[in-house]
Amino acid sequence: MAYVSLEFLGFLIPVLLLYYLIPRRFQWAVLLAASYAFYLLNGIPQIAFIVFTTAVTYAAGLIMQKTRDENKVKLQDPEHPLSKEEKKELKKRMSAKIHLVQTIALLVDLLVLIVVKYVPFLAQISNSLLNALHISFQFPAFSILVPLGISFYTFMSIGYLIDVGKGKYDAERHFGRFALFISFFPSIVQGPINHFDVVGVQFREGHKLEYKNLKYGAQLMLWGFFMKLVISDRVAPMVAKVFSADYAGYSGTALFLGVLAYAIQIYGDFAGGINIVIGAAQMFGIQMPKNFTQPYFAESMTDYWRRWHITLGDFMREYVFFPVMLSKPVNRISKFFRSKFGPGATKLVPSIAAPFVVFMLMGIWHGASWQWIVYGLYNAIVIAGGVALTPLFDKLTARIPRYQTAFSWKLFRIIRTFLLTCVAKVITQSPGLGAAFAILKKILTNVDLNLLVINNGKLFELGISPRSMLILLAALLVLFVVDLLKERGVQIRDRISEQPLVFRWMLYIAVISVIVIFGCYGAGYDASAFIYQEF
Amino acid sequence: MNWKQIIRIISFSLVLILVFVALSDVFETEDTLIAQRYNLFKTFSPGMIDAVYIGTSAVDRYFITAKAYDDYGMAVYDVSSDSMPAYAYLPLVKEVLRYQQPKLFIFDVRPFITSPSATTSMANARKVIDTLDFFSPGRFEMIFRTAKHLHGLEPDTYGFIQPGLLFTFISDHGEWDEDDFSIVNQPVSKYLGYHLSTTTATGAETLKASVYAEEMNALNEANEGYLLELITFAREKNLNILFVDNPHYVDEAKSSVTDTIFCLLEDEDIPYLNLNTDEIIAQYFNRKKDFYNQGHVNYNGAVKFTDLFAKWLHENYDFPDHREDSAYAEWNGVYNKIQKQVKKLRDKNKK
Amino acid sequence: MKEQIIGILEQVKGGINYAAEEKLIDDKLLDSFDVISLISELADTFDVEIGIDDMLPENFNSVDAICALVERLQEDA
Repeated sequence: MAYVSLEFLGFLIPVLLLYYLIPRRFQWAVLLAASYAFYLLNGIPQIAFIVFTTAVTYAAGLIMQKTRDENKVKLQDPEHPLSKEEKKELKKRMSAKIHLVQTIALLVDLLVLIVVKYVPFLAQISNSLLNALHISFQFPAFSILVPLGISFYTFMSIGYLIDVGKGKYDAERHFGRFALFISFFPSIVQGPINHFDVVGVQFREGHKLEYKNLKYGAQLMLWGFFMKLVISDRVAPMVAKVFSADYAGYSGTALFLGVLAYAIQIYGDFAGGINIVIGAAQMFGIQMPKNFTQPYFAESMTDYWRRWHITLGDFMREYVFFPVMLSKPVNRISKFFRSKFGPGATKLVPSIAAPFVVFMLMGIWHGASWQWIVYGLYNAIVIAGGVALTPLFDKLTARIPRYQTAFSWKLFRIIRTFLLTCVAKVITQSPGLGAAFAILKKILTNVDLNLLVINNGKLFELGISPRSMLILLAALLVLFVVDLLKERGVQIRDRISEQPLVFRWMLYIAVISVIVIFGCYGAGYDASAFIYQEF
Repeated sequence: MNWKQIIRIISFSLVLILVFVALSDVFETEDTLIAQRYNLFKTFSPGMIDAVYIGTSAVDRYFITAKAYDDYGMAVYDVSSDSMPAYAYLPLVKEVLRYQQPKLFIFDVRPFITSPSATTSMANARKVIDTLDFFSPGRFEMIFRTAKHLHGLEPDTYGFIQPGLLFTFISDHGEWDEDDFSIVNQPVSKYLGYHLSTTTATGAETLKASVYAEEMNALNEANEGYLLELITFAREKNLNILFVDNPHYVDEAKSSVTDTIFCLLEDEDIPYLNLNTDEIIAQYFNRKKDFYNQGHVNYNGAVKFTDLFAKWLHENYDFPDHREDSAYAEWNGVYNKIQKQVKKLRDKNKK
Repeated sequence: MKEQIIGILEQVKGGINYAAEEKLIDDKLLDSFDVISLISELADTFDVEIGIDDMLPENFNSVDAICALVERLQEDA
């Protein structure tokens, strides 16, 4: 079941009713049942995976907690006071045991993810390698239907295991509530990747029906539908056309427009979907963290990754970046560089090494293919390059003090960053790496300005009719204004609440009507059908 | 949450539904000639119509109401839309009865020949659904039947609930045309329902000889059901009904099913008129000049068909002569208008 | 020790009134790279090992918190 569908609304409303009618201490049960029902609707055999991961993680959490608690008792036992050495010894043993359990559980959870997602790709690579070496052995080609949300819930489990291991918070003793945290249906499909102490703990309390939650949640969902149906799905035919196997038939300018279209589509789709997710969760009184903060206003790639898929970036930073950077091997390398190149190098080593580790991981997290690997590499190079070149930039621009604050400079950085992210998108969206490079090359070399002349109509052969284009531009304008307001810190839903009733109702009706009338969805609309209409 | 908020939610939902109903009025299906035909029908005062002729484009391309009126003073009106599915007949009959008490219901047999899967589509269904009044029972029944058939045909594409049928604008959202908006409501037919277009005025194609089957093939099960329910309803309400097949090309498969229908009608003692025979065509029509495609007559053919059929109706049924009746003042001169317009279109075509 | 720590902080990232700030991490005044540099410097200057288990915001949000962390690590060492 997709989030953007009538079925989802039809699913959501009864669950909401039940949730608020039932005594509050059973609300978690309603959500758990709903989450598993939602999961089963997407495929029955796959449920084994999420149950397995949930069970392993839950058990490991309990064991770690028990170890820690027992230890605390021993350390603070007034009847058997311990010497400093004994205390240290005890702590060391506790730490070792906790790390052992943690490591086993992490490996198990990760193994499941790797086998399901990456073994087919690894088998493919190995087979190519074996072929190249003229070895006749071939790994069997197999692929499992990837369980819904496995990347997301596995990461949430990993975060939980590491946090409990650290003692950041106590493990959850209630299996039902823990299972709910892992499987919560609004966030299972595309995140956000939640922390237990932020979202999980909310399932422990009962939630009173708050009109504001319903209202704000519904508004956010509505906005998400707008972004997805009116903008993202409208621009989808152009993307499909340009990035199809026929990409070679398009001029560089047309390809560039296709890339822009994809940037719009993926934003509307992903951020719109997340709005629906967060809005739906809010209707249950569950607050989720933001996952997008106007990413295309970013002034650097680093900034971009703090605005796009925020919870993924946070996860990488907290559970990959820092542990790697603080690990002994990296420390030794840093010291080595420092002794050779002086204190300035201290920052350089992590600043270059870390992005590579993080973004390579991020790349393959998205998907098992060479394109995603190159994508990771590309991001890493841009970011590492940015950090390495910062001192140089600073020296250059220090001479021109106005630059730092001038709006034109800010605009330049925004556009530059946007274009850099577009390159990344080409790498992953093209039908193959070779195609990606070909497309990039053509964009730079083959300029066809005729395309932009509206009168000769060539622009409209790319998959969007004139009328549709008009609607798209109007919708994009609205999106831009809203994002600009959010960037300025305007709390949109609060501001709307302050307006008189008549205005609010007109606004809701207008937005709903626009979505229903101008949204691209349903049986009557078929993205490819439009493309073939010209034949 | 308190009562005030609950009431607010409910009132908002009601306002939203009203807005959707209003918007449904504004967004119409593309074929305005069909809409105009229905809209005119709704303006007739009760008792004005002697007979309605229900069916597909085989009705409004063939029977010129204005001519039958001019020649005999009878008020026989076409209630038809392109590729109307068979399941629409009963709801439409009920709809007509809300406005009129016709002495006769004439039914075009063609929908019963083609299987529902061929005629069921959003577009064809909407040609009927969109023009009926929003809250009429016939419309809801049409929506329900269409949803059922669509869902049966393509369960993955069409859910059981079809909001796109209920609120018309939901279906067209992807792409809009100027024709889809009609804020000036309720345009009515200028030609008393006859489908006057460049195609009917100037189109010409030689009609091939039909291939008549030797055997009779079974009717599609669903169609047979729809046929029987129509007959049952007519009996219950004491309605006179008549089934007609008019001249067009049929292949062996089609003719075999047509024969089955006539057989069934005979068994049920229902009158029918088979005008799609080689003899009739040879006697009354010109294969080269009277058809614009294998399925329809052009204006020439329509004139001949109206002559033939109106005369037959006049001889077999007792329709009053309304030509002196002031209530039909607006019907006078419509046939002249049609003739003028046909000439105009033909002159334009020659250039 | 406090002055030493403020000195290190200013070396890592200037322009912040470290004596007064209480939310260096929560308010994102120091980014991930800054924190890494800080940790290496602290490790070197005070001869302590700051591990991943110590990577909690409350340990780095203010100069006092950092001080407490370092002192605790020196004790346990």
